[in-house]
Amino acid sequence: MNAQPLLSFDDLLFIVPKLLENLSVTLGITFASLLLGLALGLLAAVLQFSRLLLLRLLAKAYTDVLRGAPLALLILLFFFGGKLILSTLGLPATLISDTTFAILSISVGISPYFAEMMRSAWNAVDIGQKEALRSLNIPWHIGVLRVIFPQGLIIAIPNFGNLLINLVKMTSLVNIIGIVDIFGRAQKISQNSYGAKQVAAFISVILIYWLLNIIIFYLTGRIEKKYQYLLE
Amino acid sequence: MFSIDFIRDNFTFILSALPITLLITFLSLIFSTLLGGVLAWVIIRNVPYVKYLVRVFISFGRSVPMLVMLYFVFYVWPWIASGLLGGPQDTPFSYKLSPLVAAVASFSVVFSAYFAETFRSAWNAVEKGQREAAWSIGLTGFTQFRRIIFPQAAVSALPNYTSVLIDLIKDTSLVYTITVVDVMAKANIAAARGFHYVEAYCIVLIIYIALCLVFTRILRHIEVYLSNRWKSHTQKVVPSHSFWGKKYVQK
Repeated sequence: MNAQPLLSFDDLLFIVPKLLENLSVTLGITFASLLLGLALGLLAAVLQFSRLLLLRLLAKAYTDVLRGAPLALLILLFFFGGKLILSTLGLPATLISDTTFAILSISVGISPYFAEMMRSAWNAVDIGQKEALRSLNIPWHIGVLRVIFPQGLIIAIPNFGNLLINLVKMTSLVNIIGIVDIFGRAQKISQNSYGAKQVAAFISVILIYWLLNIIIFYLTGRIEKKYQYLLE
Repeated sequence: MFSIDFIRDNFTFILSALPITLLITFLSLIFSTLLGGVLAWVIIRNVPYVKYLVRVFISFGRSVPMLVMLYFVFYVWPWIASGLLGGPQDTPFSYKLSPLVAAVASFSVVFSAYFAETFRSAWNAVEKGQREAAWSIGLTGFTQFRRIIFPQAAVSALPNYTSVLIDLIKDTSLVYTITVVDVMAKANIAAARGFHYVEAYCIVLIIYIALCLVFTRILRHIEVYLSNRWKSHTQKVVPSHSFWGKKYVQK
């Protein structure tokens, strides 16, 4: 049975470059949904401070409901729902690509967390800063941009690093709708070798994700340390 | 076409798999809380050498996607086990875990890292003076933990604990990829009869959202109760109010 070694270094050297070809898919989806998710989260966070009760309730309901929705489900729902809407409108099913649906659903799924992050960062900035802005008669938009935003940014960075790691992890779910990212490529490699390279393929996937997230940990940790003095 | 009839007819069928989801959630909650407690203990007490292992484990658990972990434990583990433990006559199939066990094992591994972080930060949130005061009046180690630190740490850990638990519940929707027949798998079965995928997934979405809201409410009750019971000098935890339960807002 064990004629072949379970895991050889040659296998890893053979598989890792192949997986790295698909790293661009993972990183592209991560980056696109990061931008879209931040935009949606900003909208939800701003609406939570709105004067209109209806908008406040809407934003609150959006974050509360979407926090309980599993991402795998959102991806499938967006994918099949999008196809359903396209076919109802009589448009070709390939008009909107699968990747677009994946990006949309991931950014909707992560946006309540971003909204929560922004809201807590806003509340964490000392209220004296806002009073000082008013008493110095600094225009509100300039004050927010130059005084409150930088402080909130530093406060939010540890939280943001965690969310970024979650986002990278979430992108592994896109292969349930057939997009081939790192994990999907590993599955393909293990299937093409009839299971012989399975162990090496999955171990290299784990290693790549681990390395990616260690880099994120390291960078956010450094940024946090570097600008910590500004808060004191 | 979107049909309401499908939702009405299949809701109970899909809901009938809820016990499996809850079983996986509870088992992995128990195991990962225990394991997370041990990991947090190692980090807090600074146990020599073991702490490096634990740090690597926590970083591993936090950075590996749940889907990859599930696949690894279910599909790759038999090969590794037969390679490491088995004799020449063994096949990987004799080491195959049942899907339920694989799911619980991988959830426990991943979420124990999160729970360890939660417990560690809760421990650090308790003021240092509390521990020193407990030493100075001569409480022993475990009594100190039980009477002084745990009541304060528990209250400050609960909000984070709730959000990790919600993540755990959400991630149980992935176990259908390793052939556990849970809510998602039942939805797929029901949907395949007439290609009603959107409706079936809407049902699952409703179930999960309801489940998460219920768990959030229960834990918020516990949090409010405990923080009233164990009043202390720690900063009061103000539950974020939502329109689902406005009366829980503390003034």
